[in-house]
Amino acid sequence: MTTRIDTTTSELVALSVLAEEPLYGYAIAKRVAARSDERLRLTPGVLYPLLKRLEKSGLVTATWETVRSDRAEEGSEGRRRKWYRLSAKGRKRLAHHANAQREHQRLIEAFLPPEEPEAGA
Amino acid sequence: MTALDSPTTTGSPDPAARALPGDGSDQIGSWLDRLVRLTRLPAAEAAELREELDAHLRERVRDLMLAGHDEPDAIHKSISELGDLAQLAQRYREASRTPRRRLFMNIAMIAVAGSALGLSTLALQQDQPETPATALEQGEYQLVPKAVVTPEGTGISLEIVPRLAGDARSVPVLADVPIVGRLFDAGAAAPVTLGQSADDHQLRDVLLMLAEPYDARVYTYWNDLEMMDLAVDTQVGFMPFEGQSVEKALAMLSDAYGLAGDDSLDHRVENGLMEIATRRFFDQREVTLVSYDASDLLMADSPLEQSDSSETLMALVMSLVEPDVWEANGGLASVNAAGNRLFISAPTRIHERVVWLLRELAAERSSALPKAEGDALVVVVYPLSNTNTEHVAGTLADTLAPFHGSVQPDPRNNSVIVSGTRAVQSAAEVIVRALDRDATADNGVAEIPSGPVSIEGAVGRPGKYELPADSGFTLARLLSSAQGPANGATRISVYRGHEDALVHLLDVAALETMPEASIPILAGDRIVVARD
Repeated sequence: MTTRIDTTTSELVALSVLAEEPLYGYAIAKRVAARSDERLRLTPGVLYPLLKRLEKSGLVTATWETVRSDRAEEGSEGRRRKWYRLSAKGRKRLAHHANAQREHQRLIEAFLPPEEPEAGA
Repeated sequence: MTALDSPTTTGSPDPAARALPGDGSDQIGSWLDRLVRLTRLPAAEAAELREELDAHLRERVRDLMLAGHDEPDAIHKSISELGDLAQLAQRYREASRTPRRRLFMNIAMIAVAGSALGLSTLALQQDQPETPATALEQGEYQLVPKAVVTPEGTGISLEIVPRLAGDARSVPVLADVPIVGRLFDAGAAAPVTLGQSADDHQLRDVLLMLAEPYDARVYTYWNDLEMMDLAVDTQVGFMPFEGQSVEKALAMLSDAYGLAGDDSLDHRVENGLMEIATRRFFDQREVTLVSYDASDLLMADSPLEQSDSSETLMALVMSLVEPDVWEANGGLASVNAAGNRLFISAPTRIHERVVWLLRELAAERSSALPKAEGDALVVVVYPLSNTNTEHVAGTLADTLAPFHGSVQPDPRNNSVIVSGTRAVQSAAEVIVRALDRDATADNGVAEIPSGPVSIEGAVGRPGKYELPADSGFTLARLLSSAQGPANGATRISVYRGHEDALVHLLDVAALETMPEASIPILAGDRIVVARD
């Protein structure tokens, strides 16, 4: 099952995986899928406009790096990838998102009944 | 496993890595071409987007093939994962545009009737001929100002027409009609200037310094500023604050830390306390609902249907007054129309601009321009107080290009020259004033009327009041001097300047809920408290 997520959450998710290490677009998508056991997907249609926005607002910085030819890419020198890195401002934003999210979770937690199987499930 | 998984031994390039063979390559290539065209990005940016997505698709295809999909299937799946072409183009375009530019682009390109919907239809039926002018369900639309000749004189109406590809063309000089003066100076601040410059101070000390001209204590919302990477001990290098206004100093600080738009630093001064936070912070605190009487603008003699014209007016308000602030663009302000009224819930500073815009539009309608001979072309020279003629000319050119307006900067005389129809000139005039006003506010050199303040109508003690020597005088203080609104008072209007322009319109009831009626009152203002 995959889950659709809103803008704030997708921003949180993207910033969070970039906090670990710089990544390029497709790698971000794969990392998100892997970390959520394929339940969360950042589709390219959401991901690339999001990255553009993060870049514009200074939350990430981007650089182009030429792909070294490895076994899968032999004979294709000159292909480039756009790598994204979290900026200091991005790190702050991530911390803020995370705190807001935790606070929200704690708030909801107080209203959750004890776990039991869903009726009819 | 496919050959893609192992190194090629023949020395021939890996086909999937170099170019996707057969139909697949064409499919991805033409998909990317169409996407890039739809984003209408500058060439360099478009090339980067194409390269990034191309890399994504290739890698995705390879992964899918490794997972057992055959090639056509993998290509199909990877493209379909990108989602709707038009939606992606639209979202990318929005993400890549800076707010400032978007403001003026939108005048020319208001996409009515859900541009995303319209665009996706277009994308499916690529290369179809331009839609006829009557169909409103497909494609992109723009507002085109049209000169309207009525018995009362020549006015301007806005018509929704499909966007066509068309280049600006130059025209011969027929007339030279300079515009005179500016109408809007509501944002002008009292001339408070700083006595010293910042040089290698901590941010906290610099902010204290900014409060000196007001003789106020400082309260800084550090939690808010921390979001912008600013802290008490952030180091501030040399900044030539001496002789500058506090607004200018904050603008310089914001600029130094890369803060723009909602992120930029702002302040309020009230009762000896200066508050400092981001503009977003104050905006959220100062949202008020104002009902505007737009009957002058929504008259039945409009060539548009009544409902269309209120839609048009709302679209115009949202595109001319800081697009980013509106709900539709993720902001906190909203606009609704009912009958002849617009209900706008927005921060105070936005209301100031709305009032100005509505007045401009109303003036435009009733202005008695000489009768235009059909679509005769005229050339108008617009003098600027803004020194950046290139910037103004660039913005004008972007905005007027679809209307066949042509723009020439004239830096030597500090003016811009616009050629086009009278309708184009009307639009140019509004834009030039808006840009010039911004420049004036930034430099803090707007003319401020002098004289006492008068308050009339339903207050305890109506009459004339001398402004105290200290600056930052507010409506709240004036009202308390005048012993407050009388029972049954409902509305407060603030008029300003030689033209007696309405610059604020407030609900008395809203004053109570608004923590501070921190509306600046300037010498010469006339305040009317009315019972409905």
